[in-house]
Amino acid sequence: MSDPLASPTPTSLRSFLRISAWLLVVGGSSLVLPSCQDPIELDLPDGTVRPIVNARITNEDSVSAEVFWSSTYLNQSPNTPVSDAVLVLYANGQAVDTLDALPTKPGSYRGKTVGQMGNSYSLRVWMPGDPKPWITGTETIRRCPSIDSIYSENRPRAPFVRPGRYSLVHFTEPAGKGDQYRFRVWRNDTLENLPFNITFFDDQFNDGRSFNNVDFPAVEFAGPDSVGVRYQVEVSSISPEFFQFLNLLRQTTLQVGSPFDPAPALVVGNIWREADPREYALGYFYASGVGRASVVVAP
Amino acid sequence: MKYTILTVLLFGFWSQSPAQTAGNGALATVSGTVKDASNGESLFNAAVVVEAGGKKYSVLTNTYGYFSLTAVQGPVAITVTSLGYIQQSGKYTLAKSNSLVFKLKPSVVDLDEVTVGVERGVNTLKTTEISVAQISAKEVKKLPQLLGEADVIRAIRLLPGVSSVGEGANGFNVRGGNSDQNLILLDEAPVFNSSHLFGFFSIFNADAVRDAKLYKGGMPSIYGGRLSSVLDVRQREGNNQRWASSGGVGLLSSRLLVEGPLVKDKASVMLAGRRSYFDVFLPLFNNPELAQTILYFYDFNGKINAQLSKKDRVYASFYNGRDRFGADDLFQFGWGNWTATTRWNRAINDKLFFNATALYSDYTYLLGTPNNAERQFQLNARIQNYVTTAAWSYFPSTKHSLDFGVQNTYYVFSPGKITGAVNLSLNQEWATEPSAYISHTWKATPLFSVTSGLRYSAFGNLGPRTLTLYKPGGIYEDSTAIGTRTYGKGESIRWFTGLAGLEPRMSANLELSENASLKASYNRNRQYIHLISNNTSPTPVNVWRPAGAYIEPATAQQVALGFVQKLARGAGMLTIETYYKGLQNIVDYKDGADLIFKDNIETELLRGKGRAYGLEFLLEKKTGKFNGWISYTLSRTELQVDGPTRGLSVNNGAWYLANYNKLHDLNLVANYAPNKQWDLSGTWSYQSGRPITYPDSRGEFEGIPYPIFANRNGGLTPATHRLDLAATFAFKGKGNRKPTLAFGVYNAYARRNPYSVFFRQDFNTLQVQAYRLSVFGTAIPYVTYNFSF
Repeated sequence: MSDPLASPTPTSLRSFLRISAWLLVVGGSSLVLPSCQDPIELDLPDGTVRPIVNARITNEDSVSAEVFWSSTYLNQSPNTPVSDAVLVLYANGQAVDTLDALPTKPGSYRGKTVGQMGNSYSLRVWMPGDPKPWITGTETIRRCPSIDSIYSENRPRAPFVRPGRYSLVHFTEPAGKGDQYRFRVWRNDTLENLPFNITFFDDQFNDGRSFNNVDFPAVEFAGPDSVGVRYQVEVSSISPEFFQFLNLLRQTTLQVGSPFDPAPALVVGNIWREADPREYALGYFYASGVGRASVVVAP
Repeated sequence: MKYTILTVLLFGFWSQSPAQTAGNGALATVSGTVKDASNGESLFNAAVVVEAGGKKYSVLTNTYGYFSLTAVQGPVAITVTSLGYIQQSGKYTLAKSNSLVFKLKPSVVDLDEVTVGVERGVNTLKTTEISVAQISAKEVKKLPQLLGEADVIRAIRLLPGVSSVGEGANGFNVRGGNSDQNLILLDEAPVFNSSHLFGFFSIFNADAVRDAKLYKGGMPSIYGGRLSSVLDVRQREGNNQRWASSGGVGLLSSRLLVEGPLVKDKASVMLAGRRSYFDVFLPLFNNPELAQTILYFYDFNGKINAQLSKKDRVYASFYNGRDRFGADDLFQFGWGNWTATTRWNRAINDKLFFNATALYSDYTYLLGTPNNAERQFQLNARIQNYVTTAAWSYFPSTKHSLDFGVQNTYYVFSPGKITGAVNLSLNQEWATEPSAYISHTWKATPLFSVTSGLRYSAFGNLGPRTLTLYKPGGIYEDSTAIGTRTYGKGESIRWFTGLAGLEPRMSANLELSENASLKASYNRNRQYIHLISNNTSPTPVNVWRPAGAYIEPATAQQVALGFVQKLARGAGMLTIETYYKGLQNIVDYKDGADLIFKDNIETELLRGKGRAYGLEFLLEKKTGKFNGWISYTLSRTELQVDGPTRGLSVNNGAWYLANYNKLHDLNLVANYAPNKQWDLSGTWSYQSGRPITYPDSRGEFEGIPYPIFANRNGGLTPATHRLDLAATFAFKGKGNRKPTLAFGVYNAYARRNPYSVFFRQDFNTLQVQAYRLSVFGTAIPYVTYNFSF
């Protein structure tokens, strides 16, 4: 799986600043060798049980969603799936689809509508036994760069770089500031989905630039890894609100409790009670344009 | 007619000072300086007591060792005392105007003198000072050290009302104030990051420091710009009697000081430096990544002073310190302060003292790729201060003294500039902060004194700048931006003037007896610059931002009541104080605020208020072979941010505990010198857990579990306690030139005090788990060889 320190050439300067801040956190808190982290047992309070709705629509995939109930934090059981929720998709303000529950995967839903570039989408959700719906914010499918090439290359040992085969992509960020993107990586068809795999960036420092080892370095997304491993990369355009959500999610899940960590923050997405916006649900509904490519690590 | 004569007599009677009515005639002014006989250093807070006709007239020397008081002409007895020095007494015959210089000899076995009690009695029982602590470099060096470094800030954290958010944290908190609410001065120059190595050491080299005075309340009118405290650190002036050198070699750092007379008795110089050398040892770990790591700090202190005439003295001092942290080929990170101060003192006459200061202070940090990297990227940020001050002290009589002056601070804020592969710059900001103050100390009766003062400050945020404009309503978000406006150089963006700039100050002292006093104080403070940091502890990369179009100045009002009791003929002192502080317009942050390289920082900020109250207890024994103190603080600090929406509120607008709230804070400090060769000391500290945000439920996003923090600071970390031990052995030598070996252990019983508790998914088992982070998880020994010649 990817190690944030294995990628010395981040895709944006803001990412570089974040990685440096992360190094500062690690370096600062472990500067004196005797610092340590120990697991401890705690009794935590029971909080309000809230719906969790994670949903997406892209220009290549039909709308899908997962619905759960939240649980107490240290409860090691998975969140309880909700199989009889009602989810209605709206496109440009019009109801266009009702998602069907997948019988083979409790809590999962899928519709027929595939997203269109430039269209705006939202969801309305009814939880079982609750007549008051939850609504999501409106998300628009934005332009997304295509991946120009994907390849693997060998790298020798270097400070903070392990030797081996690394996988990289080339792409060009479209000109015009205000774009945000997300990277997802599958290794042998399994999504790399730990908190430090949450990868996102904006174009504040690299608007219109090419990540092609000529203008900016190519984006390294995996490695070092073995020959024969198959990687699939997805770059997707995301809204500024979803960018902030991912930022908060990553920050919250990667905290090491050091003096330099920001205060723990409430990760609230874009789902709230229609009748009372102060009452929030968890999760996020987002719409993306996507570009995908895959590579097999070659000798 | 007879009533007119009576009125004139009464008026004449009451208009005369007690000295005249004592029947021995005309008044006499006694002024001069008190110095250290061994090196010519001015002594601050030395007590000068003139006794005549059964009456005592007393005064304390100012920062420059200067004093002035009014007594009576004729034969008098004068006693001069200062902590750590042998009392000097003598008989004098005073004329109308008298200029005296007293030179006190340091006491070798310094704390056995009863007259220390006299000095402390004058200092504490008879003055209007309240909520003040003074600590000398000598006292700092006696305390157990971390990694062999004597630390002024670690020492003041052992006092009541002073704490930090945890071990290794940057900065300190005073009476419920955030760490950016402390004005930290080094020879009058403000420093903006008082720590080396992420908070493990302070920037103050104890060898170069003469003393440090901390005002927790009852702040004199000369100080302003911060809400909670002033830490006034003064460098040594240099030995004007002989050339000398001292230093120390430790496991992880070394230091050297050289001082001497440029012109004996008239001019001297002091230079000091130190450097850590963690990086020297890293290659020994046989890890190529550690071998490439850069990790060190250094600092230089210097001061020159010269007596130009009987009335004039000039000083120039500087400080330059830097931290560097990096990994070869990957990144470099550096930060540091540098300050330069020039001062001119003039005793205009024997009742009027003048001080003019011009100084420059600069804090910078750099983060980026190494200089030899193929693709360059460097982020620089900076805050610069240009400060000029003119201050007068006037001593018209025994009963009255007046301090007044004017000051201006000019700020340049450079919150971020990126160069290299990309060139980007955040808007610089310029500001000016003019102020004036006046303070009158009146000894109304032999038992009651009051100091009343007024400070007035204004603040102007100036161009050039391109400012984002927002829709009316006070909600500053990217979605409410409606355009920009460009201001030219020096053009006023916003001025903060008017009655809100008034900062009244008052402190009073009522002597209940020869050994006890009751004290009270009130002060209002205003702060126009804020350290933008949503970390538990400030980091070197946090930037300062001024009040301006969208950020208001913060204000605080504090009242304090105190009781002081001298014990055992001055061998001990008991101080009990209680305080209440209210804060307005303090800065807080939205959940997940992104503060890195952010131009429109107002879009990430919230505004709130706070309240802090507490009870402080300090029992000191300052004399004898066994001495030390016990300090205990019971306190509470709460904040409230109640905005128009959930996103602009914290905890739905309810009061919540501040990060640095500590209910109980207990410190025991003990020193024992069984003989002339050994000096033993120990400290034991206990603190309640600090507020922490626990998750009250678990969400999930695409298979990633995450904690839901719905109640900021609703929980507490476990309590912490720690024992530190130290011993100093003095080898044979002459006087103060004995080399010493200092050794000890920090965290002697290796307690893993929790700095924080955090939550995350175990990357191997994928189970969610709570973790405790301990910054010092084991006992840390040290040994340092100190020399002087």
